[in-house]
Amino acid sequence: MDDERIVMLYWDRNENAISETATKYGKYCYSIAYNILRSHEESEECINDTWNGAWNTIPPERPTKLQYFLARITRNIAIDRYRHDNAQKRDTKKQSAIEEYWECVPSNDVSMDDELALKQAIDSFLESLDAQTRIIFMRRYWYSMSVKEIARGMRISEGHISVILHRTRSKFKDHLTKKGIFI
Amino acid sequence: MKKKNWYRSLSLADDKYVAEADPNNAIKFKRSKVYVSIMAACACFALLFCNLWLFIPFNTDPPDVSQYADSEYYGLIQKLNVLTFEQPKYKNNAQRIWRSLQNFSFGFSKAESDAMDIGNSSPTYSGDGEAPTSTYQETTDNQVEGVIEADLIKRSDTHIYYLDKGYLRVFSIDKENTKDIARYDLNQLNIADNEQCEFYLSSDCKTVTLVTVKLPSHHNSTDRYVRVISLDVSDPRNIVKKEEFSITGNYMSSRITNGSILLLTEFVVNKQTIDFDDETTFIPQIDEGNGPRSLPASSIVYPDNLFNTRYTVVIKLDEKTLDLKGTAAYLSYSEDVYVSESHVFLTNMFADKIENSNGTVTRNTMTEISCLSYGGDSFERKGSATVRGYVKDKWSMDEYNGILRVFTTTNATTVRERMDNDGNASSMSLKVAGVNSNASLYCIDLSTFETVASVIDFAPFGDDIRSARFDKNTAYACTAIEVTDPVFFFDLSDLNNITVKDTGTIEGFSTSLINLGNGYLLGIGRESNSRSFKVEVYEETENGVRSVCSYKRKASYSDDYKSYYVDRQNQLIGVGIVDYNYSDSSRYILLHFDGYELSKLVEVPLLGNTGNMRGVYIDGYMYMFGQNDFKVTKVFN
Repeated sequence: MDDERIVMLYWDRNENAISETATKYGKYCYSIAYNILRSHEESEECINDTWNGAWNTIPPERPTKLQYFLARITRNIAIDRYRHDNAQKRDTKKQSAIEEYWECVPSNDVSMDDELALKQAIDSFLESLDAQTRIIFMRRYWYSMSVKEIARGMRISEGHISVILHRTRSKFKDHLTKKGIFI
Repeated sequence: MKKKNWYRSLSLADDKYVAEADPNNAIKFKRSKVYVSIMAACACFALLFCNLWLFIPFNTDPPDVSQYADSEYYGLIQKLNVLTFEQPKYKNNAQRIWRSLQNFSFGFSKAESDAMDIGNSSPTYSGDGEAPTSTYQETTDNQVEGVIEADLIKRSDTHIYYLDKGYLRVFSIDKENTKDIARYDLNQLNIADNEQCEFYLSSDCKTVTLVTVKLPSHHNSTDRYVRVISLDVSDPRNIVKKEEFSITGNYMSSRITNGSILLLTEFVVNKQTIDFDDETTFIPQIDEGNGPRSLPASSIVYPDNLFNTRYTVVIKLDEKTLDLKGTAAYLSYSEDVYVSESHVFLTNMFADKIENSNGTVTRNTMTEISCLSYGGDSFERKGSATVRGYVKDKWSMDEYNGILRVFTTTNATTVRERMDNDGNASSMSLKVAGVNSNASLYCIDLSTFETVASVIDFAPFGDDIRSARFDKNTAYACTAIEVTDPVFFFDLSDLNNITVKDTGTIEGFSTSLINLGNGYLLGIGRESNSRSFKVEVYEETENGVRSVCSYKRKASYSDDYKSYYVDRQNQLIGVGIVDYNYSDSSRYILLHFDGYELSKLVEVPLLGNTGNMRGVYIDGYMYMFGQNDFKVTKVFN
């Protein structure tokens, strides 16, 4: 079933919308959740929350790209769960994508409530990157893929991926600073 | 926004970036222009290099050797440079690869497809150490009287010297009491068991001169040389090495005449290893005990048209001192050698091509015979003559009263030649007619080197010469296709009127012909098949040649004429054989011809190879020698 008809089911409040969504995007959303949570059980729960989230937000939302709409919901739920579960037990042996990403922000909490300005800053940063770097950056910090998985998928050495990520994080931090995101 | 919420902020990224990074999407990056340019340049360079490698033509000119212009061997170097240079088989690598692929894919080659047992007791010697004065007695059936050939056996009137495998053994001549009185281990001279060796005994019977070939230590090595070593045997208990001479190359033959040793060797220039900076690779090296040195350039003769890179080297040594008295090296002369009383005859075979009207080519085998005089202080080239056919062996040549008589097997092969890309005849030429062989006799005047008489194609069609012998004004030849032979008698007393008689076709053929004297000819050979042995006596009659009698048995024998004992005075023939029976035992037999029939006088088991067995008849007793074995038998009462 195409995305448009699935969205129509949501708007018609037809519960088949959830089963159709799960059939079409269950695997995709599950992989996003699993990359963050690294737990089958929690990932299953996460995507159930995703379907509920979609049911609650459509309508009023009418996503043009249902796949990435769902992905975004899944990612946010998974991050919340991760943060909750790992608040007191951080794995210091293996640094996760989330912990790496914290290198991009200042040590102090900052005030940044203008979501639109933040989105523009992120999009302009991504736009400034070359395609290869951008994909590596997004796969690591959006999809939370491991360096090894990225390297295998892109046929680049893990060392090279790590170097690219390190440089890009620095650039991202500078970019956000220049854009006045950090004060 | 809390710091901990920053990771969620990336979810704000636009969908297009999320879609772009979707792990399920295959990634295809556009190469940078620099990268693409470098790759393109590399590809162009590789293509250019590949084309150069494939299509640059191979060098077809021999390398430049002008840097050797100051060398005394410069003329020789120029000739060898051309001869040893191998023309490339293909024009370039592309053609070479294409031909290889063709051969590989089609899976075939284009080439056309075709007593009293004395035993072997340890040597005992009861003499006082100084052997009594002895007189030399000839045991070898030399081709030319007075021109002595080396052999495995020689004797004096008191001792027999026999070259057993790895040992020089000395026997007393004492009928039933004959003893092995001395055994000299040749390993002391660094002569291995498997190395070819034969010897001479000096006329005063005090010196044995060994001629041996030192084989290379490595299988792939061509580093072999011929050694001449003299031994003092005046006291058989205490044999002492005297002198040594050596020359690089292979042993062909040798003679002793008029106090000189004529040593005939062959030296092959290896095309793969030739190096004009290293004379040892293309000049034979002689060593008189002072270290090796090259043959002098003045002694090397090379014709205008070289056919191959093999030398025949003729060395003249003083028999007693082994001092070098003369050298002559003939480049490109490499076939059989005949030595008469005063001349050495060297043969060189080549093909003469005649183009036929139907596009085929007939190749006639030809032989150039060069004559070298060795009688004086130095060698002198007298001249050369060319005859049709090839010469089987030295028995096919004979000098008598200034005339060289030569038997040849004439053959002609008609082929349709295939040319290679350079226009040269390919070895894969298609044979369109069989080999038309026959036999001819040529008589060459040695003062003019002109053919003064000949008998062309005297044998049945398809026959070739199997054996020949000359005896003054008489010549004998045996021709055969497979197992039938005519034996021919030629009367050469009048070269303007040569008469020929023959036996007609009879069963078997002779591999050696021996003139027994009194007009009788002895043929040693095979009967109806290769597993038979036949000795047959022939005589001339008014209308032809007849077989007088024969001795036959199922046995093998050696083709080496030196292994036969021939006593013309007593009409005795000794030969080693191996019977084809269950035991395959080796034996020595002595036959006697009484003018009517051949009778066997002696047959004894004797160990060893038939080619190395030797026998000698002395005063009613037959002394027979094999490998670590000897027998003495009384023959006549």
